[in-house]
Amino acid sequence: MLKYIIKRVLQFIPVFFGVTLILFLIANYMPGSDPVQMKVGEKKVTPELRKQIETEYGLNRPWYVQYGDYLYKLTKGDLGISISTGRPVSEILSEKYPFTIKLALVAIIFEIIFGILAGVISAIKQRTFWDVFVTLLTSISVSLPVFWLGLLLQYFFGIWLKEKTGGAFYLPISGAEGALPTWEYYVLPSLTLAAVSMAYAARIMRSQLMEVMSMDYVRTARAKGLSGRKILFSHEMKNALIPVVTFIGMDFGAMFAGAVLTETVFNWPGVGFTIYRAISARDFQVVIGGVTVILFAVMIINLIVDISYAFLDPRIRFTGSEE
Amino acid sequence: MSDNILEVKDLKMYFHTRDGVVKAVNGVSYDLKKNQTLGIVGESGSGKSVTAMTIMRLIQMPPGHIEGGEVLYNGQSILDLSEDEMRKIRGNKIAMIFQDPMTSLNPVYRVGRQLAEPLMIHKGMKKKEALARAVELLRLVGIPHPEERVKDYPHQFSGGMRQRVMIAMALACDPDILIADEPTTALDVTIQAQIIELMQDVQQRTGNAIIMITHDLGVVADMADNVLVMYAGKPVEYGTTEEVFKKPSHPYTWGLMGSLPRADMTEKEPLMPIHGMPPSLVDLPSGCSFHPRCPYAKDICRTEVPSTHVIEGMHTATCHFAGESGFTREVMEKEVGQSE
Repeated sequence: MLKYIIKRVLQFIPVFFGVTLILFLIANYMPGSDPVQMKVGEKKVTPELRKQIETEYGLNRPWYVQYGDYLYKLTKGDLGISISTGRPVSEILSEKYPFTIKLALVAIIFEIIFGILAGVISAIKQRTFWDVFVTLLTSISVSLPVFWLGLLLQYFFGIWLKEKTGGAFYLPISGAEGALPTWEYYVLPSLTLAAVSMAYAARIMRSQLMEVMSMDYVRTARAKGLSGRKILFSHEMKNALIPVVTFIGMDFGAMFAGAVLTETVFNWPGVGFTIYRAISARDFQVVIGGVTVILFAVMIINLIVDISYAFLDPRIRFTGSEE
Repeated sequence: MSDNILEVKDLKMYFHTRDGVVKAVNGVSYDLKKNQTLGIVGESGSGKSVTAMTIMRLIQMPPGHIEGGEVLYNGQSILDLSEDEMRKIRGNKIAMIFQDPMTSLNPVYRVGRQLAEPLMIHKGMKKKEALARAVELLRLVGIPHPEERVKDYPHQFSGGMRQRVMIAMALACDPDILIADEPTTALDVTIQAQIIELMQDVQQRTGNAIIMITHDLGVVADMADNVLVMYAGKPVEYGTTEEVFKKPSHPYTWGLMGSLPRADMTEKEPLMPIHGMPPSLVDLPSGCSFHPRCPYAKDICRTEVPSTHVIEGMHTATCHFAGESGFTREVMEKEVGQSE
């Protein structure tokens, strides 16, 4: 097991360098990327002013020197200074991250509850109304673009419902800046964020459970005299959940990075929205810093998922230790 | 006849599929006494397993449907029981062993837990007590170091060992009837003999009745008191093992015996396989279902469904010519051999 973990950690290294290098190249060669002009705004940039700003932020150095500097600072936990605000990137990110994590957590809870429940229902009620209903809903959910779904939800729950009920009932459509928002602010963005994954989780759950139901060991369990419910919850679910847990786990990692669209649509003050704004402002220190943090988060979560796999499936545990 | 622990009377189990009605079991009758072993033989698709699964009520209904007949366990009709009542019999009074031990155990649970399950639900044992009994069961079926092995997962056992575990599981609640559905088919020949021996050994100790489903006549000759030969969902010959082996009276039984290599065979004496394929159970041949493959078929076989003839005592065969003098395996095989 330890050997496996070490192997996986070593695999992080090429991924890390690959992603960060590509980022630096994009930042330097992207057309129309003039961070100095973006910082100054409407004003004309005099050569003196440009030189001053470039020296201040180290932009006059070649990109590989900047990359080396970034790596060196990273070892000390320093993510550089944001050119548009002049604040340390790590400070900005640590301010925004709680919003992203909370949103991702709520979305994951939605995904676990509704995804698994829908999958189980459609598997045990095969070819009934509920099965068709779930299949239809998941197809729609998978094919709707995230931002479009977000806008629809905003319109129905935030505007249409508010008008119809005379303002008595509606859900907020924009994340409040500043203090952490109350629960009703989470509903729409987390539903939007979870929608696609929820549908996939339901589908994986359904197909897995249906496959497990026809397994010989389920027949054995029935021959032993176990009740249908007991067979479902112990013998079938534990086997069928293995791939679902992996999917949801990986997805949790992806949500840290994938929240850019959702956060932007809902004005959610998280990391995704911050990165989006930083890209518009050509504030590459923030983009690179944000992506670096996401990168670490995703890799660590994936590792945790892989390890938890072994606890669900004893076969993996033992082949790992025998090798 | 109250000493019959199980009576199956004219059981019919059909499956209603899109392609038509599959007559998987079509009028099967037999009975079973304590300490007795019944061997059910036949090719794949002859309805052997479905008969057994019907007794356990493990057939999905629909598509399965019981068209007629009765199954009496200790005089009580099993087919009329509610699902809850049936659950109390399954694994407790009637237990089953399946063909493929590699897939019949749940891969994510320890063997001990799977063994303990029937004890906890049927005997009301606490987990600790049931696990202690699981160790005893593993010892009973000849698994070395059972104290440690109960903590292992199925994938840590070999095929033969897993089948031993399956037998231990089936025996957990000391059932009256043990149904073994081709328990040795998926195993090596040497392991097969061990498993058969184990089952005989267990029967001697516990006195339970065994229904042995197999396509291996050797196993039947070895173990069974009575034999039921099935073809295309119907019984074609039924009798004590001695009767059936001494005086087989159905051409299909002859075919099964002719397909079996014997130690005293010479090179000149070829195997006599049954030609052709088992018929589709949706569209059975007219008359006797076996006629397209029967080397001795006459016109009557194509048109009329044969009735069951009593050969001697309880020995019966369902063939138009069964019991007629001269209609024996030796005579007929010689005749066909000459005409070829």
